[in-house]
Amino acid sequence: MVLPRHNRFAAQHLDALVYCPLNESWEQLTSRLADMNFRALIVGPEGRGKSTLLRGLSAWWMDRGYPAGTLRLAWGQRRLTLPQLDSVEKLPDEAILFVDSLEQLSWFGWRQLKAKSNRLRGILATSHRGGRLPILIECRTTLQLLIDLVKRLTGSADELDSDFLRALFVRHRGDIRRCLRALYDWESQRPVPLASNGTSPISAS
Amino acid sequence: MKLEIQSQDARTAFEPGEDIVLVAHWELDSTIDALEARLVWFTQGKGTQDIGLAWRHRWDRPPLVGHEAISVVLPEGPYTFSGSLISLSWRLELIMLPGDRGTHTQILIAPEGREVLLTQVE
Repeated sequence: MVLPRHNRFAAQHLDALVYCPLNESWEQLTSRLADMNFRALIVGPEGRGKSTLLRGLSAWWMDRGYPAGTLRLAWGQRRLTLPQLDSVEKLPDEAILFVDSLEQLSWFGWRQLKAKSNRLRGILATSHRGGRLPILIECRTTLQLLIDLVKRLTGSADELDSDFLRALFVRHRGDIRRCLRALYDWESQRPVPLASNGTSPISAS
Repeated sequence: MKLEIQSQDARTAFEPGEDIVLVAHWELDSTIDALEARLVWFTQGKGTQDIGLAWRHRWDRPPLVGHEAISVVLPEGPYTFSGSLISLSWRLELIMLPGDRGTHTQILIAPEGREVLLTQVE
């Protein structure tokens, strides 16, 4: 079997993927974000790339030399924790706050975060639904996107046939994260020859 | 610029707790604050990546060209292993400070110098 460290669909490779907007350039997307005064939502169901896009926009903002803060809300977290509130309060005014999974906060939790972040340059959040901020983008996925991501991860155009990927895409209802996790399992079952001492080779890098 | 770190005998597989000598060699383009040798474990696989620092040694204001040997007792664990969900690996790092540029060499720490394969039935 392919060992986890050699699996091309392992988390460290998925985390390195860069979000590619489907119908506009990166420049157009960031320009729209600036036009929205950096207060916006990235919306979409699970596995559509919201967190990947948020991470990309956070990196873009920091690459420009500006400060940023990050909050990742846990499943079922209705209010910010005291350390999270403290970290928001310590951000400089010119910072943008990047919030993952804003939908977790209750109405009160959102009002509290909104009050704390009003002085900041901006707040950009992912959410499963709209309503708390204007929508920057609704993330969606296509079969072609899955095929492109697989090509990026494997470096091969033909290793996985499109019927297999289409079946995965349909089974997981467009949730790319679930598709890629299924591909991790598929890859882990592939037979690979072991070295003569019974171990799998570890390559020095 | 050239950075190298490895065991003195160039082995890459070791017993837990083994006493080894590491050799670091560097040729820098300009002066830096420090060089740091590290022994680090990390996981790769389906879940979130974890990382841990087991040992480090720092050379402050290193000369532009240097060659150092240093004795290290390797930790008793965790072993280098692979299951179906994660692999745990070890690596030696030689890092320029400030920043995180440097080089690393992957090594194996496990009984008999063989990776533990949790899915393998013997």
